[in-house]
Amino acid sequence: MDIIFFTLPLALILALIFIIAFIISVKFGQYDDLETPSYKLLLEDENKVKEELKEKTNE
Amino acid sequence: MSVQKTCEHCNEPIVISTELKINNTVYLFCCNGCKTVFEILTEKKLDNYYNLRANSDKTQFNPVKQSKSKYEYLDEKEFINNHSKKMKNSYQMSFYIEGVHCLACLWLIEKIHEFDEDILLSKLDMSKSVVEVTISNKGKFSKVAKILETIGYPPHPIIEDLQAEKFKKKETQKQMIKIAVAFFCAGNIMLLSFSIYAGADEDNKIKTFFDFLTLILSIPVLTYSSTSFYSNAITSIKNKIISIDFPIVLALILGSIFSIYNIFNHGTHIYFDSLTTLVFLLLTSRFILKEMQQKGLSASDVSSFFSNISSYRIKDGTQEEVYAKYLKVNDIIKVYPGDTIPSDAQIIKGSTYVNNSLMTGESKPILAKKNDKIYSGSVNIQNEINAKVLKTANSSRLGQILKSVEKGWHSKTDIIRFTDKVSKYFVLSVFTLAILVFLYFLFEKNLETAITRALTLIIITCPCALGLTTPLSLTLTLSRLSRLGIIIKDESIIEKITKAKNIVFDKTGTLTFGNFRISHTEVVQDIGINHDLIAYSLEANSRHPIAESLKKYFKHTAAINDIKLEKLILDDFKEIVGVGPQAYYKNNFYELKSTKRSNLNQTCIGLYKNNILTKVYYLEDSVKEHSSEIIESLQKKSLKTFLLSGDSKSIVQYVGKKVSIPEENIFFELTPEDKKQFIDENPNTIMVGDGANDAIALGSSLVGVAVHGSVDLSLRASDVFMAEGNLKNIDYLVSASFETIKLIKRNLIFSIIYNVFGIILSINGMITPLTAAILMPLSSLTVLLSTFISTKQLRVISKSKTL
Repeated sequence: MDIIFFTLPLALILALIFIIAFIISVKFGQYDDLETPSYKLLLEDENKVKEELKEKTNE
Repeated sequence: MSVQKTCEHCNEPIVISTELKINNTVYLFCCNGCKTVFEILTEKKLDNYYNLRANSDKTQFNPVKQSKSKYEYLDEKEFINNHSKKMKNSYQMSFYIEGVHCLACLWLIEKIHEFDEDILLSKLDMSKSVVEVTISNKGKFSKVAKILETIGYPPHPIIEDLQAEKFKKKETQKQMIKIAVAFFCAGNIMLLSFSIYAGADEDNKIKTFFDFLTLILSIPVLTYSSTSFYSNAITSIKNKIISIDFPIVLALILGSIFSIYNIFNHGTHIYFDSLTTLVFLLLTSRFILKEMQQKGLSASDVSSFFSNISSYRIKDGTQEEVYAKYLKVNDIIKVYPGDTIPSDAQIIKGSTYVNNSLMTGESKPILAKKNDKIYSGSVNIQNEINAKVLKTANSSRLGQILKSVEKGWHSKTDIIRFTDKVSKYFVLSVFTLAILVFLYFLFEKNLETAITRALTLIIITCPCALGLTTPLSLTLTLSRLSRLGIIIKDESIIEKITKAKNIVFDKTGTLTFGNFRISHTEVVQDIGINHDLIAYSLEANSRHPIAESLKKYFKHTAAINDIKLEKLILDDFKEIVGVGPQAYYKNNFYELKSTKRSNLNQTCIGLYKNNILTKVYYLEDSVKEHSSEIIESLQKKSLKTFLLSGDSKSIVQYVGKKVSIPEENIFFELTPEDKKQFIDENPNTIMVGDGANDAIALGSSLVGVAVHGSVDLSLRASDVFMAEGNLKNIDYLVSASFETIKLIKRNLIFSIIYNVFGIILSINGMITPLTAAILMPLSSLTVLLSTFISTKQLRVISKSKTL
């Protein structure tokens, strides 16, 4: 069971990395507006729309 | 009758169509505004907007209206300095924009940089309808505003405290990090302590290791994450009041000291698991609450963007757009037809009709000639005029009314005050109870049991559910209603509404549309030619409101009957001010003037041929749809309905009858002061109105509701603003308020029952601090859930869509 003295702190350090990542993302304002990006998700990529339009006009 | 066509842009049925031909396809529009938008979008290849919009669930959109304003005041140095963020080579300003409804709007608004190369970036926050625009230092905000308006989103610059805004954002981020840290530590501590409970402590080495890890992990939670508890507790001690944070801090300190003592003495009672969980859950519930409250526009935002009146000043022969509040005495202003007069002034050029209905309740226009005084708040109806400012905006009549109105504002809700009080007593009694329990077990048993039981008691009774539910229910209702276009200034209004016994309506603009329509016509004598054609030709150049409504009617009937409406050539045309137009056509003398039809209470306009009446047009200020339905529904909620108006007896009684307000509750020919007196004599009254003549009454009423199209003044005086003219919203507002208060009571009863059980269990030692730490937030969760699910009727209201 002595391995736990090594793995447990390791696990904690791993978790620490994630929390640091979270703090960074907060500081960069990723959580400032949670509603609008959910709409943006539905918007198709600009180029894709144009391509589709091209296809349609070609037809 | 032709098939009903709808506008290509706004989907509204077309009355008078405007056409646009692109690539041999003809598109029809209801107005020039819609046509312009469509034209621009097609030209800029942004017509994908319509495809995107087709997928949204909204099918009707507001027709586009263009204002004359050039938004030049946005370019004033003073304005930019005060209200925009300056960055290296760019400026940033936020606008609240009207009419954002779906994905397509988002797409379009974030594309406005394609219209002007000086616009660098536009970012829309859908939940607030606020767009943040960044422009290069060569760009102009007036241009941005004009573009937004052209594509159908009238902008209002947000005059906010930039510093405060920044601080708020930072605070939220900080709070999130605090929660994340607490969650990380509490979660890991939980894992460790569970393994100890499961038997890991049989190995002494592992137990010590785990204990020390727990200690290390709890340090950031008890220091960094809980700073707000400590500072709150300290302020509460300073102010000699016991706040909810006080017992929490006590539990934290006592628990930690005891746990540290046990760790070093290899004791079994270590409370870091419960303490950190408590901190994490408390922080989370407080965070959620705060976020909910800040959703949507804050009250200060609401009041700022409705108070922007711009006006035109003439200086050295050129005209500039300025804010009304920057006007000075002796400035020369130009007032266009349709504009509100910004300040008390004297006409120096031109003559016109002004509508004083906002100030006096009189709905007939009044003639104002050169040297006449005109007052702020009146509306110029007919011609352009130049006037000299006599008083600055603040000291004008409008400003004075404003001041008297802003005086009597109150704050905190009674029910919040009540729960605050209850929580305070609750905290106090829990606190004393905990001390008693501690002392009792200290003498009866030992220190360990005493601390465990007292700690459990404090943790389980932590009254966050109690403190949480009330403000949350209120703010949730606020945001639900704001989605329906009902903007409420603060939470206390909701409770006040439930206390109301009477509801008073204003007539013009509230129950009626506030503009004249032709209700019906009557042909008295045939004249061998279409009556309407003659009347149309007579009124063609007039801008009088009655003329406008007549013309609208003529165009409408012509469109329905497929008649071509053409202006005839008249001889010796004269418009007699105050009477009407007259002219000769093929040697017959025609005139339009008001006539009396004895049996009716309506305004009638007659077409005379050689002094003989030939056709009568009946004008009516038509009553809004559903009016009587809604008033009956309000009466069922045991509210007494009243109608107060400045208009004359017969008209008021006619409207009152039509919307089924009992005759004894109808009052007419009232001045603004009369209205206020009525409100004062009948406390607990909700007042619904729109004009400046209602402002004083709105201000002194229990709850003042300003309806769509209200003037700035009454908006400031009121507590609630209906962004949509639909009267149904008043019914929603009232029932939502009743339901919310019901919900709060339900939650309060639940949390009291829960806490009583908790106290009994913890004193008897039937639960440990850890179970308490899990049960406590469970109760908050139940309350939160109960609030979100709310009542059936509230759900119905929030789902309903008003169009």
